Amino acid sequence: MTTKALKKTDLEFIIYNKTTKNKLSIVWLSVALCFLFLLSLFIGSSQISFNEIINSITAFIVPWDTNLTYSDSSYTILFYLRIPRSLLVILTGIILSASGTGFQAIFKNPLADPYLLGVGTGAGLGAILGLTIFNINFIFANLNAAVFAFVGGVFAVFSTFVLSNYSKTNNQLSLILAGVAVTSLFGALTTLLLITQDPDIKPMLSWLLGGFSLSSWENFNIVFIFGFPSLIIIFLMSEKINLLNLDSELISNLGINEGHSIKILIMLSTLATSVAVSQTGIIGFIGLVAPHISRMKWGSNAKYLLPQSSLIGAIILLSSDMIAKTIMSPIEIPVGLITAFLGFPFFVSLLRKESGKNWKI
Amino acid sequence: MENIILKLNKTRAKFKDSGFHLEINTNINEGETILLIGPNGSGKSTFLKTISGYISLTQGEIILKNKNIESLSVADLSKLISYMPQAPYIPDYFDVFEFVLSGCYSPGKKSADTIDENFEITHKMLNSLKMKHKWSSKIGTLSGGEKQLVLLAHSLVQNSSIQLFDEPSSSLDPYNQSEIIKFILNKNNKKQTKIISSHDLNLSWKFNRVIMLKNGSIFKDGNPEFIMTTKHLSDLFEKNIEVVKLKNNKNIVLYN
Repeated sequence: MTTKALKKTDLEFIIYNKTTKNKLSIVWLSVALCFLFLLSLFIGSSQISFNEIINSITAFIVPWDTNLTYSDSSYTILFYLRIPRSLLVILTGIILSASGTGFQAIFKNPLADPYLLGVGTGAGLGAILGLTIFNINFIFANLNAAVFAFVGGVFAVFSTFVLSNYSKTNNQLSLILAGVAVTSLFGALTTLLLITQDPDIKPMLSWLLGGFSLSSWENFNIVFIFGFPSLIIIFLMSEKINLLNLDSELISNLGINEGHSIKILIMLSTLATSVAVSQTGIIGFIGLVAPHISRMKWGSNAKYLLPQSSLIGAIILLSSDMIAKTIMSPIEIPVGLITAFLGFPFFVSLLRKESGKNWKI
Repeated sequence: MENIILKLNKTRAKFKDSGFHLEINTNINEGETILLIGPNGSGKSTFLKTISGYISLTQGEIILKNKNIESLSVADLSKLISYMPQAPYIPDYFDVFEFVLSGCYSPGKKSADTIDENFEITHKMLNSLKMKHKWSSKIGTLSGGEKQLVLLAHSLVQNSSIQLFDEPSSSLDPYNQSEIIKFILNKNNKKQTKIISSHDLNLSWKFNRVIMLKNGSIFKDGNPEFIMTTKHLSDLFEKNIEVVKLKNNKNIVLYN
């Protein structure tokens, strides 16, 4: 045992452990996600036979093969419902997890999540304002409502920033406090509107809990166009994000302007998160849980943690969505409920394990 | 003959909103090893934080190699100065190797963990601080002394020309305290300037200059042979402190 422990300290072993091992994990997580994506295409409310799905996909890849038998409706369901839906689920999982990883670094606290600064309740309030006051016809994934949700999310984070500027003591702490204030205010307003304005709050409630039941290419494209560039920049900032975990004195001594980096990161995360929330609703726990799982498994270097947690987030959300589709079939339940049911026991065990450790804030 | 590397011109700074003011006027030469001593709250940490650029000046200026420190960007400053704070926050989930390796970060350069040389430097540093066996331990599992050694390693791998250390050995056992100070002082070339704050007055004679701070300004400044006297120390701490010369010509500080 001791000789083995000594051997482990070899430089080569360290380099393997810190780089190659992480890269390998990203490869196999990607493979797992691809597999899950294919699996998700077979699951849905309408019954399409295995052969029809295989044939539709083959027909898409090799259009000149005319011997394949499949119905047009199966093809439509596959290519206009299931594929965009699963892709949107994956993208949303990635956005929430990457933002969560960034926020946990910024706030030097592993319990931070992407909704910390109010983006979720802001988007919720925006959407409900659109529904009640501006009388937008509210159905799932309605694009007009999405605009309201997006504006609401960005506005909430902006308010948080403005509020936090009243305090000069601790940048991050004042941001968190302002975020808490904005979240509770916007949450209260949302509830007020819900109980006073709309007689039928059921569709609204299920929107708030998040879901993908009517996702189309349109929804995916919007999230992709706004979210993907932000994601790219966040990933390019990974080394800085890693260092943002440290004390501000250490960060500044390493040559990083902390305040500046934090602002950029929050802006990018807010843009990506609010556009995702506007199309899918408020899906909890993914942004908190995914970074934790990958940190426990592979360590905390944000360069690898970002892709690892993003892939894990996508895997969890895609699995949750598959459960949401099937568990009470033909009724779909909001995916936010599934992630909350899955997340709750995890969160409690985390709390038990982590309480008593020192955190910055 | 001697190169002035740091010039503090009537530098004034204050620490947060404490109402405490630091006022310093001095020159620091290239290659000097300086020990900062003084009672609690005398401004040792503020002095180091000011030079590191973490605290901005309220008056005066600091000239670093002919450039005003405030005209330098955080990134430029970080290439010249390394600073080891007293008890900074390091997340429990970082591991020792990752944390020390992050000291190799240099703004605008290739990412630190893509360069094999950085791994070598980190590995060597952990080895010489006898912390190699802990390379994969999480920071949260280390003892206070071990944490301090890891922090020291993080600071030393930066290999900067000006190195600041705020009580780098305060959590170590007495033997290691003196060993670590010797290690810092002997490390690398003689051109590096090292400023260390400490409450261990017996370390003074290892340095070529001692600055005594009291109430935010310099009380005495000079070669330890001349200024580490019973009178100066008693005045500095307002307590009875005696410097005794031993038979082997070594000095020892006694607290009565």
